[in-house]
Amino acid sequence: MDNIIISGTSKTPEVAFLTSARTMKLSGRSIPENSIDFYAPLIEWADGLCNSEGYVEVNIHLEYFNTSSSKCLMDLLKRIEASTENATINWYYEEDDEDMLEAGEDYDAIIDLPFKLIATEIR
Amino acid sequence: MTTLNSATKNTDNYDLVPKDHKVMVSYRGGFTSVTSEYLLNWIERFYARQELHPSIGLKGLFRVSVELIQNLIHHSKNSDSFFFVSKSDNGDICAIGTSNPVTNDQATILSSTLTTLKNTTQSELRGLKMNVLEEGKRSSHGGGGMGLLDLTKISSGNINYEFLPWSQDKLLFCLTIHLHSTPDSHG
Repeated sequence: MDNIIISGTSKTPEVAFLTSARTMKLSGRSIPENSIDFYAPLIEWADGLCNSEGYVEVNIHLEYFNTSSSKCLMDLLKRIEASTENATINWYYEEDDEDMLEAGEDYDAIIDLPFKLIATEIR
Repeated sequence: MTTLNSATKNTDNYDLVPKDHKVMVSYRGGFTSVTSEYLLNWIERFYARQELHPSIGLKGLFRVSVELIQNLIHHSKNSDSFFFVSKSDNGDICAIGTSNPVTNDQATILSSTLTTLKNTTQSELRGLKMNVLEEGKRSSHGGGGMGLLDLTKISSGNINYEFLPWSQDKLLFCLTIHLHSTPDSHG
């Protein structure tokens, strides 16, 4: 499996999905008009990684995201949950961002994987 | 809900802006990805001028604007679509609104959905959102009915709508979200 590394844009997040490190990172904004086009290959990649042996770390550090991205994130997390029990989700939010904290809590309530909500300093 | 049959395409889009507000950003025409990019850039520039009360955050303004603009991109192919951001004199209220022609059938569905959402508490909205996230359907672009729910939640229920006369077979759907410096508790 090749790594997926995509630079962030004004509408799409920076992506670093690394095979040998077994980590996935999404950061920045996620507000594409068509989220499925953007996330479908990432979900397939995650499925491939999580079906191989070993621990997986997922780091989500989004500034904000639109509602269609929120569904795609759910699809990504559900696919990881279905493929492995050996994964941790790290959900980063700026310490004053109650909406992003709440979003993390909602995913945590739905996804049955270790889920860490990590406050960061305000940028 | 209003259903009109006479052709009355005479609404001035700026009538939708609250009377005591100053328009900060507005656009009328077709909405595409490029339009969205321009408008969101303008909104960021407007916000940077610090004319809004600091408790109205850029993230909230941005999230509302993104959902409204993307609603128009996905659901309105009409060049009569309109978007605006306005602010009250002292900057303690920001209004973000859109208008676009819809069919009577679409108006019936929108009216029913918005009436229900406006009468739903914040905690119930959160529960609904989780249900849609977990089990809801996906449209071809990834959405699927969560936009209005999220807009109602972000604005603490300060979401207003009306249907104005437009043409023989269409009404003008006007949607306005108010962000307050001290949001009303809705639940």
